[in-house]
This record gives sequence, C-alpha cells and structure tokens, in this order.
Amino acid sequence: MRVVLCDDSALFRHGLALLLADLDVDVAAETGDADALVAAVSEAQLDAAIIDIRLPPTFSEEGLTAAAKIRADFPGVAVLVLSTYVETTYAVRLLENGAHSVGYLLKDRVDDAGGLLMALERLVRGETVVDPDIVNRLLDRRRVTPELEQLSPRENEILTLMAQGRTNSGIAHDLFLSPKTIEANIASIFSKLHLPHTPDINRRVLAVLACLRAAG
Amino acid sequence: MPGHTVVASCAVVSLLVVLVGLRWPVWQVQMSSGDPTIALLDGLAGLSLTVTGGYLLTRPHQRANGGLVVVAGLMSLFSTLSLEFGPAAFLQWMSLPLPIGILAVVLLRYPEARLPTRAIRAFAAFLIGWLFLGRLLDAVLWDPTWAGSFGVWWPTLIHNPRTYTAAAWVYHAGCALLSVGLLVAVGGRLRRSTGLMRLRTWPVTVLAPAAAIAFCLLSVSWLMPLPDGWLRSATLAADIAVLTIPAAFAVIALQGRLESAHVADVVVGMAHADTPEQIRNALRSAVSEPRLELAFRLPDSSGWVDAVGRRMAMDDLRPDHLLVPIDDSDGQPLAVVVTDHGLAAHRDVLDPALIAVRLSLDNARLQAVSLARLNEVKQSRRRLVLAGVEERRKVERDLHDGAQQRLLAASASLSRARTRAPDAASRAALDTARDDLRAALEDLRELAAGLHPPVLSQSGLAAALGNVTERLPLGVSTEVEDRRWPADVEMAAYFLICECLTNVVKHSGAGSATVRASQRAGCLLLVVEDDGAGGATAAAGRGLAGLSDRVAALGGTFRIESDPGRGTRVEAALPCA
Repeated sequence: MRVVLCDDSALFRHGLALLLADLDVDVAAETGDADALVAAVSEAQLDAAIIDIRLPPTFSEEGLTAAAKIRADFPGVAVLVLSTYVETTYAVRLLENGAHSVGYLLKDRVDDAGGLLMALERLVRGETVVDPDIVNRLLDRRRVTPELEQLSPRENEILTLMAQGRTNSGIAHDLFLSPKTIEANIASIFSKLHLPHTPDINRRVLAVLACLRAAG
Repeated sequence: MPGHTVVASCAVVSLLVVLVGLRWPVWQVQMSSGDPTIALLDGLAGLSLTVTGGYLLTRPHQRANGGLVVVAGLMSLFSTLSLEFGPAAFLQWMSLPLPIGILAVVLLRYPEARLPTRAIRAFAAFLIGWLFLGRLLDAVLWDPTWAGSFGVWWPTLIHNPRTYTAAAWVYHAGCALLSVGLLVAVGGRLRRSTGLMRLRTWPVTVLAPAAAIAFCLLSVSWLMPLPDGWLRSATLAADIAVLTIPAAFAVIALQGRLESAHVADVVVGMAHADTPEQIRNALRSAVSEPRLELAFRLPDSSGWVDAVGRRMAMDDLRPDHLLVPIDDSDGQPLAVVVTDHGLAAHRDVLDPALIAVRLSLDNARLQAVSLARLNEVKQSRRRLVLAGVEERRKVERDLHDGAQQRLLAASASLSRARTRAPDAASRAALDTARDDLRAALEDLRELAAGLHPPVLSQSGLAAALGNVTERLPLGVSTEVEDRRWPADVEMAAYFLICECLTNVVKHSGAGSATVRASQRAGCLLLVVEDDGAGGATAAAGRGLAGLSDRVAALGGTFRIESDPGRGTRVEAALPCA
C-alpha cells in the first residue's frame, strides 16, 4: 500500500511515518500543507492520503477541503482525515460529499497499529470509517429518544458498528453471528428508527449518523 | 447710532431727494402720455430698493448687503431719469442693467456677507461682467441719432445698425440664460440650507426666482416678438418683484421677533436642563440647528469630547464650522459651540441662547468630562475581557501544536514498540503505558477544548454549540442563526452559553433546555431557557453574577427570569459593531 502524509506537525508526521513503515505501508511523501499534498497526490500512484484536519494557512478547514478535492479529482485514492478533537460536525460534513473510501479518525488511534492498518485497508476497499469515539459520543447519552429506546441491546451493538462504517460481514465477524441474523437485526433497526432502507453501506453510515445527531 | 452711520444716512436721503426731484418731470410725462401703471411702478422700484437698503444698513451683520441694495436702488432711479446732456445719457445706459446684477449677488449670499461657494462666486462675477461689458459693447455699436437723439455725447465706434442688432441679440440671449442660471443657483441654496437659515431666507429665496423670471422675459422680448401684452406683463412682474423685496425683509424682521420669543421659551426650559446632552438639545432647538454640538475640553488638555462623552477631532472641523467659545463669569473657558458656519449671520439668536446656558454649563462640563472618563473605563474593561478570551485561544493553540502533537507522536512510537515486543510481559507493560498515555491525551484534550474549542473559530457558534450539546445528559434544542459574528463576540457568547448550560445541568434538574442565538438590532441576542426548578439569582458571588459582569463589560445587557418552579430564562445581548 502506498500513502502520502499531510500534517503540519513534523513531530507527529514523522512518528506516524515510522509506524506505517513498520506496517509495510509505503509512505511516498510527507507534506506540511494542503497545496503540497494535492501536488504529491497527483504525482504518485497512491492508495490513500492521510490528512490532518487542521492545516496552514488558517488552521481551520483546509484539511476537509483538501480531502474533498482529492476524492473528487482522484477517485482511486482513499482519504483518511485525522483530528486531534472529536468533532461530529466535521465527520458528518466530510462524509456528506460521498462516503466511499472516506474515513475520519482521532489521531489517538495511532496507538493501535493493527487497528490503524485495518482502517486503511477498509478505506482502500471503498468502505467508510468513522471513529468509534464519535459514534459512542452520539450514543452515550443518558437521555435517549423513544425510538432509540426501543432497540434491544444486540441492536444497539449493531447500530454502533454500522455507524462506524462496518459492513454486514464485518459486523457478523466481530459479533460471532451469521450474516443472516445481522441482516434481520438491521432491518428491525431501520424500521424502529424510521430510516429508509438502503443497500449502500456508505449511505447507511450517513443516515445513521444523521439520525443519532438529530436525536440530540 | 454711530456718527458715520448718521452721515451716511443723511447722504443717502439727500441723494434720494435729488433723484426723486429729477425724476419728477419724467414721471409727469409718462403718467399723461404712456402707461401710467408701468410709469408708477418703474419709479417706485428704485425708491423701494433704496429704502430697503437703508433698512438693512441698520440691521446687525447686514451693512454690506444693505450698502449694495442702496447702490442698486440709486442706480435704478438714476437710469430712469430723462437726462439729455453730455455723457449723462451714456451713463444712464450703462447703469440700467447693473442693479439687477447687484441684487442677484445680494440674493445669492443673504444673510451672509460673502458668496457661499466658488461656483456661485464665479457665476456672480460672470453675471456682473456680462451685464457691464455686454452693455458697453452694445453702447459702442449704437448711435443715438438712429433714435433721434442729437447733441448727447456717445462713444460710438462702429456705425452699422446690423452689427448693433446682432450684438444686442447675443447680449440679451446671454441675459436670458443667466436668468435661468440664477434660478438654478437660488434653488440649490434653498435645497441645501437647513434650520434657521432656511426659515430666515425663504422670503428672499421665493422672490429671487420671481425677479429672475421677469428679467428673463424682458430679455426674451428683445430676441423675439412676444404676444400682445406679454412685454407689459413681464415689465409689470419685474417691477412688482423688486417692489416686494422690502416686504420680504419686513417678514424676516417679524420672524426674528418671533424667534426671539421662541428663544425666551427655550431659555426658561434650560433652567431644567442639567446634563450636557439636555443643554445641547435645548441649544439645537433654540437655533433650529439639529447638527449643533457642544465641545468640552478634557482637563488634562488631551483633547475634546462632545455632550455624550465621545471624542471630537476639533482641528478637522475648523474650516467650515462656526466655533463659539463660552466662558464662565471668571473668563475661564467652559465649552465651545460647534455649528454650521451659516449661523454666523444669526448671532442675534445664538448669543442670547448661549448666555442662558452658561450657568448650567459648568455642571454640564464636569459631567461631560466624567462621561468621557467612564467611556474610557468601559473601553478598557471591554479590552480586558477580550484579552482574556484571546489569551485562552492562544493557550489552546500552544497546547495543540506543542504538548498534544508530542504526546501523539509518543503514542505512535509506543505503538511501534508494541508491534516489535518480543514477549507477553513487555507487551503488557507497553499496554499499561498506552493506557496512561490515552488518559493523558484525553485530559489534555478536555483542557484544551475547555480553553477554546477550535471548531468555534473554524465553523462558528452553531457548530461549536452542537458539539457541546450532544455531550450533555439532557435534550437541548438549539436555534442558532447560521452566520458568523465577530470572533470576540462569538467567543464571549460561546462561553456564556456553556456556563449557562453547566448551571442547567448542575442546579436546575431540568429535563430539557433551549438555546437561541440570533442577530437583533446590532446585537447578538442569546437566550438559554430550561424547564427546571428556577429560583436562580445573579446575587454577588454567584456564577450568574460573573456572567452578568462579563456581559456588562462587553457593553451588553443581561437578564434573568427564574421564578421558583417555573424554569430559568437567561437573556443576554452582546453588541457587535
């Protein structure tokens, strides 16, 4: 797998590059700003770009803009946006423009090499990755809507994994259940939450996130 | 009355008597053979102008205008005499149109003694030049013998009736155009003048167009044959317009008396005015000048402030403003009245009003100075609060760029170490280190976000509040206008709402809350409402008091409604210029 890294903190960028090298991920380029990133992406044959959300010059949304541009101009390149903070607003905005091969993770995830590699592989396969913390924050409330209250504990578990962008087979694998059981559970969740049933996994992520945010 | 005025008056009266006496025979002839009405008015016009000029000479600030009107009147009388000897006929010829030019100048500048703008001055110079030089050109092309006058001295240069007719045509066409110009200029003055100036000049400004139109018609009568009776009507109109000018001045004088009565009312009102603003408003009303300002000098001579304590740049005002200093009874400066320069001609109204306010002004000056100090304190208090907010933003940035990235890099290194760990014991130790690091990062993130949430400056209030409310254990509905406010206002609003929501969670026992933020009349209006226990107060030492102080420091307003058992509603308005 070939990736580029873009983060204005050289320290973190370097640490991540070493970690990725250990995981046999080829880091084709490291950059500190969005323009250099887009240039690097257009030059190398890449599988993914890993982008910090907060980039110069204004340290506002340059990372999100660059991610959207790369997804639009280079559909073969997956995008993983990294953030120091858990911000559901950004996660939703990032996925709104198309959730295929788009991921949003906390930078903290670098402490789990295996998990990071798996997230990258899922992205390259075209899946969506949403940081568990974001999903947890949305679900982790004492006050829950009547619709969410109707879900069984098992359905809750499955909803959480769906919101993280997992596929049916991925969820089945994680929970040691048959794909058929998962499908039945998902159908039940969708009818209880009044969500339109869609076979597209990525659109499903957005629908679930939107539903959870609206419940706030 | 000073001596020279008496001498001047005697001279004018004597000259008048002589001229009227000389005019008498002409009059008698005209009355019997010509048009008696025109004859009567023709003669009266010059007479009435002279009288008007004499009246103006006795008015304050009107000597210059009065003198000009007297000259115009005497010239007008002189030009209608029947003098058939020596150069007298030529002089009469020359003096016939000049009174019109002189009157135009007076009408354009009254009640001041100078013409207001460069354009008007240029126009007046051109008008006088045209009337004089054009007439002179006409004269040298004219031969009085063509009209049957023999024996008078005349500076004829060219004896060609056709040349004369052409030149006279051009001259009168110019006169007609200049009349139109005069109309435009007077109209412009009327449109621009305000307050007292407009009140006091309207009779003149209404009469000037009448005179200009009559003059225009007279000129046109030279250029083309007018229908029967038009020439007579135009002559009549011109004479009547000139005759009404004294009446106009009489109206103005009467108005002046009424204004004085009005000033007296205002003076009585001023006894009750004790703030600088009230005194300024009383003065504005007394002189009908809504833009009048009072300027007070700060005690340390560091500048000037107006009646509501705002700084004034006096040096910028000087050229086109009238500045009248007011001193107290000891001659110490109290204040300066700053107003439109046009009021210089109305000191008869302004000065009594200023004397009336002098007593109240001493108090008022102290107040204006304190107001200015208060404004400065308010400004510095606002700056302090904003500096605090800005400081939090900086610290967050430092944490983010420094400690947080360093710990995250350490986390990546630890992760590498774990993939290479040779045995279970090392892995377990590294797992412990990773858990500690996770906790440290989480603490740091909470701390940094509490200082200043990055999403606030990046995406605005709505997004930042969304991230806050989604973590609260109760349902919060937010109605935040999707727009940006100035960064400092957004930060202040954000922390205010966060503190209110913390209070709701900690103290109210509410099941739900509402947050609203919208733009209202130059302010960001914030409302935080809950359905909890109520009974919250902003008493000193309580959290809400701190909020109230901070909103006040930013120049805003803060209100709490919290009856026990009826929930709490906090409302704050932050000004955002």
